[in-house]
Amino acid sequence: MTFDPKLSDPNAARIWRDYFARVETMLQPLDADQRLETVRELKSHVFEHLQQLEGQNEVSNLLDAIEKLGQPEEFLKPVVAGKLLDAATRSYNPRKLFSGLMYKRRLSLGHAVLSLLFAIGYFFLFLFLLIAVFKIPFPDSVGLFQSGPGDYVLGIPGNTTGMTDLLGLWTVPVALLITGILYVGLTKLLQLVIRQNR
Amino acid sequence: MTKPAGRQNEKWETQIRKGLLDLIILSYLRDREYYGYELISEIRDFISMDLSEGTIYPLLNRLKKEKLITSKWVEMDSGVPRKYYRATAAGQRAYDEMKASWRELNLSLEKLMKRR
Repeated sequence: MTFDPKLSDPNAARIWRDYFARVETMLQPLDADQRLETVRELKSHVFEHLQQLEGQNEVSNLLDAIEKLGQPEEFLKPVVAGKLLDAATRSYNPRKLFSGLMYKRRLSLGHAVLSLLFAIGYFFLFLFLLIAVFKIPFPDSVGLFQSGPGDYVLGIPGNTTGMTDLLGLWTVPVALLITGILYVGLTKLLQLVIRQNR
Repeated sequence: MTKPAGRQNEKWETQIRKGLLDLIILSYLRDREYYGYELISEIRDFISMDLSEGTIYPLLNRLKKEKLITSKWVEMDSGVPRKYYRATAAGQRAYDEMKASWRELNLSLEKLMKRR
């Protein structure tokens, strides 16, 4: 449970609400417990600051406190990115992993490049998944085809007239297997990168 | 503490201060427990204009995750709880190691700067 102090000045109350709305927005990707804990701690911090300056103007005290605390969009970035990536690499959850990658991308150029490489990896993972899914309804248009000696096409080539489907319906389990290997491999690699960058 | 002139110097100094925050935080928390605002007030001189007070909380989170510090909530008469932090045994050991590394680095730098 979080709290909100009784502020006599309605402008101060509005400033408090707006600031912590920004904090809550920033912390959205976290679990409810983690979010609550962080919000609680930051409110406690601002309240302590207000207590130190009791008797003076509420609005200017509050503005001073939140100015010193900083912009939530800045100082909470590492909290969110770290927790998202940790949660994702523990659970293998693709949604959490993507969220963590997006936050990691914002931290630095190095992280941005790394995130781009992982994004490309996951793009190929998604492609293989699409191949597995669409092979059954569109068997003649999706798969691994040979159009000539040494000439191969993988994916959804469109017109496959004159081409040989090399795997047939085996495309489905093979594509699923590659998808699984890519996902596990990329996640393990990400775990390694996180450990090395702590 | 007086600041050296120059924007480049300020950026460099900010990075140095950021890098030392783990050591500073542990140096306080190994002696006794502190709540967040109290700890920040103690190290306020170390938090320059380029570092907001909020940057402490991700650090405290990380140190807690690494099991170097623990925390607990304490209900206060004001109705607003405080979160107290304290160094663990592992945190004490980490502090000793960091202090030794810092001293070594300091000595090496001193030697290097005397030569130039």
